[in-house]
Amino acid sequence: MRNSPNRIVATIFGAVYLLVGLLGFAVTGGVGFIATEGGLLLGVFEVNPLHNVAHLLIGAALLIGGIVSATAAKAVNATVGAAYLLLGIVGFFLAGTAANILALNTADHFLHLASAIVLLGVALGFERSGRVATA
Amino acid sequence: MHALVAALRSWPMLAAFGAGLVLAALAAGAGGAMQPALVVAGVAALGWGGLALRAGRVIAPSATLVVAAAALVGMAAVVSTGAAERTDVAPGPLAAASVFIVVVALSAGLELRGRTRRSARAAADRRRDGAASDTARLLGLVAGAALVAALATPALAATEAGETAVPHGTHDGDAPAPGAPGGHEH
Repeated sequence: MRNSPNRIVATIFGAVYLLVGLLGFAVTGGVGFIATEGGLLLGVFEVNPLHNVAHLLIGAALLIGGIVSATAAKAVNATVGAAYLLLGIVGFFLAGTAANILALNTADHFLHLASAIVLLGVALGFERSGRVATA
Repeated sequence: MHALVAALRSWPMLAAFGAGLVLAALAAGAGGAMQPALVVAGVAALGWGGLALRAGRVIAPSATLVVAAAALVGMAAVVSTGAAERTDVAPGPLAAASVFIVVVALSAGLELRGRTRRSARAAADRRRDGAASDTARLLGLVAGAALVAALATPALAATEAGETAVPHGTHDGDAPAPGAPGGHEH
């Protein structure tokens, strides 16, 4: 585990996302599943139940990848990171339409963007072919 | 010193990601010939960032330096001639993208300079520091990502795409008027 940056990042990010997902339910009691006004997690991050489920799924995928192997962690890191970035870019072109999934300038979006870059960066930049740690 | 160099190694690539995201967001709201130009620039920046991260170094530094310099000159011309205003390209996000591009250009310049001075000793140092630098590289990656997100997030919000973003959790298509506060959704 300690020899693999991909496993370290996947495990840490997975645990944090799981924790955020679980804590989110504590502040979204009575909030509609896709309500436009959610509860505030830690007083900063706005969440609703759909948001919490997404955090739980992403956290579980990352944590499982991190626990299983460096190869799995690298694959999950790359997938989640690329999906976040791709979702953001596609969202730019859907702004103002019914399919819009974009919203910006919030504390949680800052964290998502940073997460996406870290996950994609560690997947692409560490343990390149032939150097994947097995420990 | 080696740890610092290792930590900063991924920053040009992360800056390219930031530039690509902001340019793509600007393209979404741009009109006329500006839109395809910004799409090409954004995709090129994202592609360069991904390939360079994968390679672990600044790739094609000569071409990168020329293209980055041309992009900076072009962006300055677009703002100074009023073309940005006519094609709905916000100057703020353009300035943020130019900061990211400057980082890429600087890294390309340093890479070219380093090629002439690089010695066998430096290569040996890199091999010796391999394991230790993984930690430094990882910490550098996290710090770089936070910096890029800190600059890119307000820049993205200032684009037309950011201003028309739907509030948190909305999926019913009732987009707010431009300028209304945005929220967040996955």
